[in-house]
Amino acid sequence: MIPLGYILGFSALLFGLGLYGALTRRNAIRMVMSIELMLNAVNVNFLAFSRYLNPGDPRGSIWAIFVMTVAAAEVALGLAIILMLSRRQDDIDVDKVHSLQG
Amino acid sequence: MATSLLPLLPQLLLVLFALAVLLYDLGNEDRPGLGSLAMLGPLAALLGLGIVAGHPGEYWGRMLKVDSFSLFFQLLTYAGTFLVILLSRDYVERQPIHRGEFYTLILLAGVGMSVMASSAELLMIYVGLELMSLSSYALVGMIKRQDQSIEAALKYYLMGAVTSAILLFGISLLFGITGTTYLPDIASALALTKDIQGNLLLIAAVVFVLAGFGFKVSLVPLHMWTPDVYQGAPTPITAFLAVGSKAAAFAGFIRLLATGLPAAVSLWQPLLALVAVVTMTYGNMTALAQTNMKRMMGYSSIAQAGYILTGLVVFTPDSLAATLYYLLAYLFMNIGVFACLIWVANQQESEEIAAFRGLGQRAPFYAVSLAIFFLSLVGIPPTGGFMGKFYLFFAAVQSHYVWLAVVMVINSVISLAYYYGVVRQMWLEPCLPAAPGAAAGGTSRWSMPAARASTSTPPAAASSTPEKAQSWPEPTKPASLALGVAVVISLLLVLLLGLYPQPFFEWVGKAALLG
Amino acid sequence: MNTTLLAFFIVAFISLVAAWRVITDPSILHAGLWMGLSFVGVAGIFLLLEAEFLAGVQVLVYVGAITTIILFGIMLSDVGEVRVGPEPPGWVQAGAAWHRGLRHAFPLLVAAGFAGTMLGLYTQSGWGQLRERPLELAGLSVGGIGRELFSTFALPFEIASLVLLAALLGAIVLAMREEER
Repeated sequence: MIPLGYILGFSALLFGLGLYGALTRRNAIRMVMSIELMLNAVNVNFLAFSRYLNPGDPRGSIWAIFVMTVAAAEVALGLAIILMLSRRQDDIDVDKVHSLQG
Repeated sequence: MATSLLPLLPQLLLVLFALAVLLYDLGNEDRPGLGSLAMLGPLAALLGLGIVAGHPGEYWGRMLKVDSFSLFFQLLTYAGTFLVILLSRDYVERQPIHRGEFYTLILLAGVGMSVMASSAELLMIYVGLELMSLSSYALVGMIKRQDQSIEAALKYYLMGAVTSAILLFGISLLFGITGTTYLPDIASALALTKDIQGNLLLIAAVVFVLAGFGFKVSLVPLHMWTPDVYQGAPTPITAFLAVGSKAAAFAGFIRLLATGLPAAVSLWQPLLALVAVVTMTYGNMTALAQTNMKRMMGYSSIAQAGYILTGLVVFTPDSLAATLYYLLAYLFMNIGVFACLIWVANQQESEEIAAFRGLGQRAPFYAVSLAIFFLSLVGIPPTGGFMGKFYLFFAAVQSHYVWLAVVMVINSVISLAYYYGVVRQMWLEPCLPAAPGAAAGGTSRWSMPAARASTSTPPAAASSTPEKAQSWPEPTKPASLALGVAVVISLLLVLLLGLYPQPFFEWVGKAALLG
Repeated sequence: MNTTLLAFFIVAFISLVAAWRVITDPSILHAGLWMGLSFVGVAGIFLLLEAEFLAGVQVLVYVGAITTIILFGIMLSDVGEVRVGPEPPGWVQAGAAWHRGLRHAFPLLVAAGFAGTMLGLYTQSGWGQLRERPLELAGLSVGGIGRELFSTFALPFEIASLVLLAALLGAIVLAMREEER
């Protein structure tokens, strides 16, 4: 059997990679992908806690379902924003989003 | 079934009107009265709230909570939504905005805010938060012909999505520690924990969760989006973020800390005290240097978040009541400022502070109102802002947070400087002609900074909205009645909260018990 | 080492390598495909956690829907990270490769630091070596999840539909071309 620490370690690594990507990458679509990795790590956490600490309690699974639903909605909206910006600017490097700095 | 739907009445009415606006927008070309239909939504919700007030309790498997706290914040939400739609009526006529979707999204965001306030279950608070956030991201980007608006939407979206993932990670840890996400159960599980201080995992969970809410109310390490988004968003939406989004996030914040984590108060209290001090100081210091009115209000809103947070740090029934009182006053003074700002921007085609020059002569009513709203934001009697700040100050001193109260007063004095900068423009600078392009020749001895402004501002204003000037018709309607109504309502309530606070004190005192 | 643990290590390794490539792959399109692989790996973890239903949903939603949307977004917004210009000399290339290697290893180090910290906290809570208890049948079946979702959690379920409506509406309004008005 897998000790809980291994699974939590996996999810922490996944979350850390996603967080690093979301904070350092300059391409908006890559940032969206990194955010999705973070949400995946959250779901692993929910299911692991549910399975190991409260077996039989569906709350963890319910949370995971809601996180997935909201993530799908979030991605759709985010890509619409990126698409609109790319039509205007041919470039969605967030460093070059400059008309607001100052 | 009817009994279980009854406590949901205000939210249901709001959803109903959101869908009605959407369908009406589909069916008609001219769509007369679309704004009025949208305004009926929050009004109907307010009526529904009156009915629901008689039925406190928990419904829908403990997902929905009707208590004086949730009633207070629902009232705040519906009043804010109503006023924001009032502000939008004139604005959407002059900007290339899809009106039906705009109003629908405002109403849906209102539903999200009211959901956040009326549950003690983290899942509900999360779903409400996301409903509010996703609607706001889209609303911020609604002026599709302005790069500023889209860029603000992208920034707000990316940072918001990252912090919401961090919030979720924190919630998952809380779920692991306590085995539940229902706040009262979390509190009882934590009450059994022996060594709260040494539980580092709990500290990490609390920090992650606070980051999620701190982003929405723009506390300092997570404030970066605020000035950009405030400046880039359509002005009514800026007002909506400043009052609605902030109030709802504070509702979730207070519910989480007071209902879910009171046992861990020794963990989050010092952290939030530090954040509050840094937030208000940073906001006020940076606001001093701004030349754009919306950006200045963005920094001002950061500073205000710091003041409001002090009430949570002190964490007594009195200080929580003071927080609610301040949020109530904050709603009306901010809406008032943004109404005046929209009026001026309609006249001058500019949102720079320099556009307020000579407003005292051109439109004394708006100038005097704006000055009163500023007095309230600084915290000078006889306004609601003064009462709120005084109450916060009093609660802090009472529980030996004298240093925090002193920091608050010093900051209020600093904030006087940038608000006075606008007031000086309104009265002490010569009048600016109503048409943009022709610069006024300022010769008075006050006009050293204004002379620079008068040479630089009209071209800047023209270049910042070149496409709007080309592709959008010149405003056909003169001064709008809706804006005047919004200013009058805000003015009356700001003065009422300042001069006759007693019934409101009793009300927030009851709401702050979270019973 | 038993087979479950071995399977866990394989799936976790694949998923993490894919996640690392999402951040570091020079081609954004490849990064999108790596993301899909990482999601499949997470679905494998769900299977090992005996959450078969969630594993199915994970494949359908994340791999089926989200990866596809993102790949579409990449192609529609046309943002290849293409390098142009003359070929640099060999020693510059070698130096750049070194630099790239270091830069690509950096996310791993940061993530390892984060995971190490979190693991320390988990161990302090006594979760490190905790083994799973035998699964009680009540509740975690698909039927159990469904019953809970439509009884206790019915209200958030309904509000989630409003979230989808708001996102749909926002996405359509924002992505619509102005000429189509």
